[in-house]
Amino acid sequence: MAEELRLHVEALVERNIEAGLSREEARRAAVKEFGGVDQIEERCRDEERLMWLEQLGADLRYAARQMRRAPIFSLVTVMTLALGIGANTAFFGVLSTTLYRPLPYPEPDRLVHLDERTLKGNWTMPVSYPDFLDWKRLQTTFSSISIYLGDAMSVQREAATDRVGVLFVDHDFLRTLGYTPALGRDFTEADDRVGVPRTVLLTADAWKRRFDSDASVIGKVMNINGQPVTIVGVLPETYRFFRESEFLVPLGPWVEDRFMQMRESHSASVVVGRLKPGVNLNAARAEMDAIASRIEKEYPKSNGGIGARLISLRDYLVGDARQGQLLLMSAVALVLLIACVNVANLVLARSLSRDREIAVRAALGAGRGRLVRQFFTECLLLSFIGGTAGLAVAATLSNALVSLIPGGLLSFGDPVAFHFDWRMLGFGFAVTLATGVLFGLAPAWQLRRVSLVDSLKDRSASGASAGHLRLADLLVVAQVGLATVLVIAAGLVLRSLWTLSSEPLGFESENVLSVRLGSPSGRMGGSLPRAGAFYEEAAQRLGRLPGVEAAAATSNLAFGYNDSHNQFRVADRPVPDPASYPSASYRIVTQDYFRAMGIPVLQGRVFTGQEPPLAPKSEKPDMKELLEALRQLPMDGVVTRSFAQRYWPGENPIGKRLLLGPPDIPMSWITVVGVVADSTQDELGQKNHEEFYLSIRQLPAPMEFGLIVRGRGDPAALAESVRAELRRFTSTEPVYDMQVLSSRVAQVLSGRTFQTRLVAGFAAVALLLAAIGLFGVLAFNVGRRTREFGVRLALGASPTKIVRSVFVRGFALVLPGLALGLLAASWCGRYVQNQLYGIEPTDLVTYTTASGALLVAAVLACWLPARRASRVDPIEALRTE
Amino acid sequence: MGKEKNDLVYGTLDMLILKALELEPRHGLAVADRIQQMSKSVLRVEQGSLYPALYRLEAEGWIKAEWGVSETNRKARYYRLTPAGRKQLANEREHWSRITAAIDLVMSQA
Repeated sequence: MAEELRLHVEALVERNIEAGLSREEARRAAVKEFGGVDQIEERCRDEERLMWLEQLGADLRYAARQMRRAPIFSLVTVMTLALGIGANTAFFGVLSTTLYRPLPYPEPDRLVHLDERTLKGNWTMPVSYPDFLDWKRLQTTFSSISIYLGDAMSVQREAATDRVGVLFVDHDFLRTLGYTPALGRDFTEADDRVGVPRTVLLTADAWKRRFDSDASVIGKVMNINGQPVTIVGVLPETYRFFRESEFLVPLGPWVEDRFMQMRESHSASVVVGRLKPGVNLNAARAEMDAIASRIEKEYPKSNGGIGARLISLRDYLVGDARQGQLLLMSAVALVLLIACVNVANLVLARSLSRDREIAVRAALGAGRGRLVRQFFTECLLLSFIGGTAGLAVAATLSNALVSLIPGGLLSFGDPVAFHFDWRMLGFGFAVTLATGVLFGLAPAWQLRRVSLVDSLKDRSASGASAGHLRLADLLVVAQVGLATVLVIAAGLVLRSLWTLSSEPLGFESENVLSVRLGSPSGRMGGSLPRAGAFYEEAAQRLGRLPGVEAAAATSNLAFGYNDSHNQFRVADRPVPDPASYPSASYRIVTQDYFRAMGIPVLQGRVFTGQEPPLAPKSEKPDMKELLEALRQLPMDGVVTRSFAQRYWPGENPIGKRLLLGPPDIPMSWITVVGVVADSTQDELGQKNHEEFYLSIRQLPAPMEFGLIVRGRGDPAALAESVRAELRRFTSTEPVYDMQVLSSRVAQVLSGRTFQTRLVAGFAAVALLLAAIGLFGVLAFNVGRRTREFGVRLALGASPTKIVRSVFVRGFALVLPGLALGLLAASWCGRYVQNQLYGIEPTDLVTYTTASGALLVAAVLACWLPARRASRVDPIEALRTE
Repeated sequence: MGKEKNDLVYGTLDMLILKALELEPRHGLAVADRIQQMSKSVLRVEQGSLYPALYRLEAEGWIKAEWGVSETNRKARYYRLTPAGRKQLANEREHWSRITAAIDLVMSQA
């Protein structure tokens, strides 16, 4: 517009020049003729109905003035919005960074996890290799399936030996996940059989770090566990699976080394399958059930009572985290709900108190639309400020939360790239805005029903009808109830965590150093007794170090993953049915294990180191020869108290006998020589303590052993001398994963701790919001009753009485809310039951503490408004109203 | 408006602008010139009133503006009569003739 006017003036100037005026005169004449450009512009703007823009400006100015006039209301609303939106955005961001990431594979929904289970009791177990081969041969619902198991192997290159994570896979593994090698070739069936040359694929990371990204490594040979292995390819950068595994090797050639050729052997391997397009999980389940029962019929001894289990790979991988999801998501929803209720309540209370203002403005000629827009603008302004503050809260909280994420939750090895969840921010913002607008507009909308005269006349009651106030009160009650539920939920999981972490483990994890030592069995040509003697000697050497109290070797380090179970039957009892054959977790240890772990011996004795050793006929025995040797060897066994009580209740277990081995492959007779205390070495919250121990001399299983060293002081101080001693002892086997035993325990706790902290964080926010809400409503109420308080004070009411009346009013809202919350919590309790340990969902201590916390928050929220009420200056109050 | 020097009857500017645009689109100055020319220089449009009126007519949807190049090779906003504007012009013309006839009637009777 300005340009058009300018052009017009210029044209006039030109015309005047043509008429013979000088440029200066011409310009002056033109401007005179035209008039002030600014005035014209302004008049044009009016005409053009640019009015709305100016009105918006006026609305905004007015809104800002209103905010300043009611600072408490504004502050409380903005804080609510900031906390509600900010906290939810941050927490949700953390959740989506950890738990909700889709699996990094093409069409991840088609990936299925398969393992085996006992039909009776539904215990899952690893898949036996022959069973897997039958599955692979018979199944038709998967486009491919692959067995896999991870292990650490000794990899020798040049002079150095390293401990490297290796994933043993079927040749179809990469196809199943949806990858092709970036370099070289994929495995073929010809790589995946007994007796063929061994091959390996490197992860991109291993290729980079260990081989300097040298493309010529393909075709080179390296040495894994004493075996020559040819590098055939490199995986793409995008490959993600268990991050510990740097190498992939086909399982076929290793099956015999790992004793996996027997159908009875269910060792650590599980199966992943990719469903054919359009096939659903249930169809696959039905087929696998049929296949499993066919195998069961064919091999009743080994497969009696064993079926297949299928779940989606995602459920399998995030399974444990899943249980907490419901809880966390409910917490997110509750906090958002509380924030909305808060906003609704505040805005409602605020706008109800303005009905006189509305009436005046309506009387002065403001249309309903105009008033609605004014309120809308005010809500918008508040939401905008609150949302911006929420963004700041979210950013701050996110940084704090990310540092809490335990590494274990991110098993695919991606670094924690925090993903700020804009959707959540937008969602929280929209929901709170909608609430604010809805409740803020209600009074303006009802304008028609407001009688101007009544509103203007009715000075003492200051407006709002009882019905409206009741709604506000109900909102506060609801809010207190919701907060109660969350605080109780948080209290329950917190107490579970405490119970879990303070429960006696049954051994002393302090002052114990643990370390893994690579197995020499490959180098020793598979001689089991020699491998056992190797660890026995290592433990003895460590035990002689200065500052060491006791040292021992164990087949399974405490909290270092234990899957050693073995079947057995008790002597002199009827032979149990194969489907219900007893089985128990066991450990193979050297004689000082119980001293080093601090596990008390309750009865009899433990191992002496003098047990007759396993002695197969030849240096490198085959399976048959080994079994023969085992059958001829009477073994000593040590059992836990629970074990003794379960199998010989009320009897002296010493001297009793067990027959070790599955129903169809009886191995050795074990004589119980001692009973030790129960101890929790597998997982926190372990319920089953029926375990037994065998001597490394008698069952030097082919596995790798760990070493534990109890020092007289700080075990970390021993680290160097232990490492040096092991180096002197063996230069070929790697020493790795050295950790203070207590830190292994702490790691297991960390995932759980993380979730508990999240829930506790939500509860804290909820509590704060509820307190803010109560405070806001009460403060508002007091503000509106200033005149009433003034009169009462003037008539001689004591300030104490005024304070009491505010508290009474506050608690009239808090107590019903609390009661409802307690009821709701006890009803919801069953849904968190699986998250709890050692306490009931209706734990009295938690309920009491949570109620206490709410009451304290309520007292604080009442306190300030009450104080203000009691300090009203009567004269001031009467004059201003 | 229009009290000092022009002889425009109050409320007729809109109609005159519409009339000036009846034949072809014109820019602001040309509209003023055209009114002056049609009235044989009796009527002079006050420049300051012209643009508010143009914007008002545009907001009513009777005329439409677009940028173009003037006869002196300058950038200028050209206003064009819309069909609605044409109808409005007819209405105004009809209204005007009735009013003027009535006024004549009043004024001619002694």
